[in-house]
Amino acid sequence: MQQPFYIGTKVICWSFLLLATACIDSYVPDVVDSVHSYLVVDGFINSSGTTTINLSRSQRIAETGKPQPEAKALLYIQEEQGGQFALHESKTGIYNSANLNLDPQKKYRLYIKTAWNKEYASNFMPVIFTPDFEISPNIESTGLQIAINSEGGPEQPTYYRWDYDETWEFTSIGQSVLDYKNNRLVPRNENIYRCWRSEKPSKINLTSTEKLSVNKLVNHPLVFHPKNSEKLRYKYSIQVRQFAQTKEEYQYWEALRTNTEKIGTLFDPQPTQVSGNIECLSDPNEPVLGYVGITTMVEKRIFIDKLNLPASWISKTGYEDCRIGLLSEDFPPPPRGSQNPWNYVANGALIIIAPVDSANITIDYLYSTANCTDCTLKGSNVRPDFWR
Amino acid sequence: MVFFYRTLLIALGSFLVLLPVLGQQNNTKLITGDFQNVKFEQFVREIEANSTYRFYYDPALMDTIKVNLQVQGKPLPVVLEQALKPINFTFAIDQENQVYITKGRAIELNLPANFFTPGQAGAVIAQNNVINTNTAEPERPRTRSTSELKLYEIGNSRSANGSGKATIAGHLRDIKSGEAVIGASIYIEAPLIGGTSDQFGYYSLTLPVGRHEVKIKGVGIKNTRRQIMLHSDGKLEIEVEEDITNLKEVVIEAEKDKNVAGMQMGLEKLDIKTLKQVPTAFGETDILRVILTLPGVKSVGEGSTGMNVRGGATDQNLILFNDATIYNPSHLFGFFSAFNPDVLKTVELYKSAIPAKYGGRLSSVLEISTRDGNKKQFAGSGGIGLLTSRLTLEGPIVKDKTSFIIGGRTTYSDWILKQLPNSTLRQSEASFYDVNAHITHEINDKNTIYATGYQSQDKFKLGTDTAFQYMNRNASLKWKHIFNNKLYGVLTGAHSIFNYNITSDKHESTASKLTYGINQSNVQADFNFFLNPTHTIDFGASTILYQVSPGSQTPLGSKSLIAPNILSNEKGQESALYISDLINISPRIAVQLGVRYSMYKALGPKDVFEYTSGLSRNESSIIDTTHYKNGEVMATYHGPEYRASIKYILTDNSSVKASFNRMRQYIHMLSNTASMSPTDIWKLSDRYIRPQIGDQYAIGYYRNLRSNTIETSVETYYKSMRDFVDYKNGATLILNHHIETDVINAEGKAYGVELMVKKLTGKINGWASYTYSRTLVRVNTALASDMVNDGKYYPSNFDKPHDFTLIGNYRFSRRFSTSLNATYSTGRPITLPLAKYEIGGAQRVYYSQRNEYRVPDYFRMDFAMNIEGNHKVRKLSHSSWSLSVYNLTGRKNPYSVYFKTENGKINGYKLSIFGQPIPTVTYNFKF
Repeated sequence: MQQPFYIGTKVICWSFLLLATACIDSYVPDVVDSVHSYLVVDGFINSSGTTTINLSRSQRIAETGKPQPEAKALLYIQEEQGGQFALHESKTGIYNSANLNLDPQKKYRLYIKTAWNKEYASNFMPVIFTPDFEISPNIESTGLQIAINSEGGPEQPTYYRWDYDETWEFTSIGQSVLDYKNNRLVPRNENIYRCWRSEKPSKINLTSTEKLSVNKLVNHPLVFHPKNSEKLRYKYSIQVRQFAQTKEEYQYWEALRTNTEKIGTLFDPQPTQVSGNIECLSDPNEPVLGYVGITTMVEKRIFIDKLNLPASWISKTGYEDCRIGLLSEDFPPPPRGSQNPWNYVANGALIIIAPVDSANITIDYLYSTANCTDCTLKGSNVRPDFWR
Repeated sequence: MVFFYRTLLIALGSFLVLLPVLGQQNNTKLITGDFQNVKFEQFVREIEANSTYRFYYDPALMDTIKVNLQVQGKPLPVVLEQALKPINFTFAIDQENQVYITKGRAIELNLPANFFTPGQAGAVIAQNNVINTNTAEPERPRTRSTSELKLYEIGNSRSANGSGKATIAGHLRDIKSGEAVIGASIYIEAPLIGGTSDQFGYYSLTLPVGRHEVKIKGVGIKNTRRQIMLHSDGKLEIEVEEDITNLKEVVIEAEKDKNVAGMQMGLEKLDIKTLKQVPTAFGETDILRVILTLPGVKSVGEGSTGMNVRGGATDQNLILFNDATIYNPSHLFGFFSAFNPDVLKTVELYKSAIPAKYGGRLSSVLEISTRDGNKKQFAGSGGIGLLTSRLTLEGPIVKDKTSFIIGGRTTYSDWILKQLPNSTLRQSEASFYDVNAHITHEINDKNTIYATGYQSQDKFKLGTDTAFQYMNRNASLKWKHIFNNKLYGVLTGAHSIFNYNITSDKHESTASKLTYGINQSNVQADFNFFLNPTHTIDFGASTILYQVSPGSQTPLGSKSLIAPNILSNEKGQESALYISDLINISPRIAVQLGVRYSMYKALGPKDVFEYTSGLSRNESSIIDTTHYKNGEVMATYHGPEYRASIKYILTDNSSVKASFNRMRQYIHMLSNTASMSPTDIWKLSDRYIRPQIGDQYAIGYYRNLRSNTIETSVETYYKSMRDFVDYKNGATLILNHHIETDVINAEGKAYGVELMVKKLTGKINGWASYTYSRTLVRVNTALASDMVNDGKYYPSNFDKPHDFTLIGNYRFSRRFSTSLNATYSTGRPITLPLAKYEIGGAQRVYYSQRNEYRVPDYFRMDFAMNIEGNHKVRKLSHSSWSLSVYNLTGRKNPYSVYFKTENGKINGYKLSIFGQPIPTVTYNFKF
């Protein structure tokens, strides 16, 4: 459903029952309000490299803020009937292993013992190898299709999952050369015009070759950007991480994918209880969230320059709603009237872009709002290390 | 002798004065004589003088009669035949050689067979030497009986020998309006033989020949009786009087011993007058709302007219409005039911032991019949309420032959919205209307035609944003033909349309219109055959063609960027044949056995996706597309549906009934709101979506107390359902091009006990019911990803174990009465978000198991007062006022509980529709 039709519950009762004043009450059932602090295990066992596992706790539904990390736990990658490799807490709740090369003939699991001596473990699972892949940016009539080409081994179908980071270069509405400090205009040193923005969409991307006659993905669509996308304005980069996984893990991610966080609309999908492959050994009834697979990760990055895209594609700037105004230096009445634009310049809500050449003695300045002028509000003005 | 005379007197009625003439004793029975132009009186005297015959006749009738006859040694009957036949007189001679002369018809001298012992046929030997001058006429003109005292002769006395039983049939009609009286009991008491009038007011009784007092009792009519003398099969049209005041509880009489003696179990029958007493939110009589107070019928919440009957889903009810299917029975999201109370006659809900005639839905059949319209004079009625008004007009087109009734209802909530201070609300709109028209035309004695048209429409707009609109349109045409007293048939054609659209035009670029539509055409022929007193056979056939436009989203306005998204149409045909037999094994035991064989074909044109077998069906498991041509069969499903029930009368006031029925359903409603909403989609069975099949076993014990004034019943049932539609986790239902990827065939079971006590007479009357019931669903597939709650049974959306309802009326006088409702039920199940967590940098919500928790319990109390105008029968118009308060205690019962993400925070809300007491005043009139 592209355009959500909200059932106007409030309006329904209002319009029919003019007498009923409070139809909608805040309602939080006790069970929802109580703390369900379940262990959340986020990460995978990297069979050839460093494994990073994030441990945290689930939060109350109404809570805001970041989830609480689970510190001081003991984590091991255990071989079935074999040895184990410890993980070490690098930051609170983040555990890293050494660079490992797991035996593909063996089965492994993740074992966790929390600071409260509760034990958790994932199922023993085989090591899966992620095949290599290529990212191909395909120019289509309506936009840019970023697709995956990959070929797995001949034996069995491959279940793929990807996540990716996108980074693109952009500029604000105008390059500000002046800064306002201590009630006067000074030359601006910092670049707030050209920035890079990075995003990591939370969308879960999955597919399998089960239905295909060969274990091969040809131009499997991953991301699509319409030809006017602001991401394609100057230069765009995408880094894709490919994971192969077992069918069970694939089904877990599929269930998680359909469980959106958007609730309360007429066209909501049915919510799902999603459980992963980790069990609490101390209390089998305690839910544990997350799925820890064992695989390798293949990572690729590409850059797409505007020059390589059709010239007819005009990108949006992301600043379509912005306006540039003209401000006179001796704007009356100095200095305190709340309507005086210089007050907004002083508090940073407006930013002077540049002076305008004028025959008059007074100088006019181009200005716009901070949101339109300061690109650091949307991205970072530090050129990423990988940028080229 | 005394008895004989009395019989004779009644038989002759008032027109014959008995003139006993004593004849002389003579043993000769052969008559010889030459009668030339002699007076009849003299003729008689001569015969009496020469024989043992004695004559009885009305001298006034005979004084001008002259006899011209020459006979030689002939028996008296031959002589009398010669003498009387030319002048249209008849005679009868009894065993005592007494001769009775009458004009026209011969009197009946022998007691009919089985007069004293109705069980034994042919015990009395008929000695009937009667000449019936009417033998040339195959059938007597139809009698319209209105008198309780007059003796109506039925049939032909000459053919009244042999079996000793005859069938009497006819219609029960209202004397004033000529309308059919539906569901009235018509019976004789000794032995107890009875039946009920059907939807046409038609009845048929097979009785021992002879004299009977036939009693008629029914809803809304005055109890009456008819004296009949049954000779052979014949007709008796009965006109009965309407019971004028609404306040008088006539309901009781009709139902009096039905609870115990009736064949049907799990049937709830409501008359519009009962319905009118129950207080409702806006003072508008609402049949669906009253039905929800009956045991075994539940809804997920108020403001919802979706019914859950005995653990069935809201789509498992066949709602028939004069035999046309209604898809959405509610107005304004379920705040009003879509039926105008003024045109309604009766409402029948079958919960179990569903007759073989009906099929196509798993849980229940709700049959709504409209009135026929006054055949005698023009009349009208109406009501003015706070939000709605209605008007109904009726009258004869051709007196006693053709009548019409037309009713309309509309709301003016739009006007009220405009008065609101809030500007968003001022831009809101809410309106609906419904119109009914019904014409009955009696072509002749044997053929009647009924035509009904119905349309209801709703428009609803929230602020300036989203507008909902939906419409039901139905037409049905019925032709009833009476072949003979024992057999009649009804041919019905009907067409139903339901469609909705939702337009959103808040943002020009996303302005769009979402539409859905379904229409069905059906033809059916139903026959009712009263084979003999032991067997009554119903049989028939039907076919339905469904056409569905499952949804489209199209851009609205030139600036809209919405890409058109149109789902291809669906087509299917459902046909059925049925036969059922009601067998009265003995006065105590009756069995009804029936079978319905239904068949469904999913028809093209359509493109159907093929999926990898052994994998969960989803977009990524599509491997191919098959194209089916127009009319090509894509899938066929068929199977028998068994119907059986048995009644065993234990004592005069208690009985046990049991039933089994199997139902098949080929059309499914997809709804992800638990209640019925206008955005629900009806989906036909296809290659992937199998028909639903449900079996129900029910057994009940019925006992009437205090000479049938208090009815009690206990019914228990077990139901199993398979292949009903449930949704995969994360299902999307609207505008889904491959709905089969999001739904699964689930199995379910439901069981419960329903207790009911009903008192329908006296100053205090009403009913109380308690139901304990569970309804559980299981989705257990081979594919782990498609399973819900690990493949275990879980409560369905409408599983509400405890349910208690009290409807109480107290009548202060004939003109003033009050009523009080109280209802309590367990809250319905809900899936709650329990926690949130982060995986891969994105926020996820951890939900409970599906339907693991419940919303708070539901409790509501309503109060109403009805004040009638005076009860003079003859006055210009009758009027009444009703005042009611809905939700007296103002309890905020949750209609829905939902969660919303607001500023990164998930908040929970409870919506109560009627969170405060709602007072209403309605003025009703009738002219």
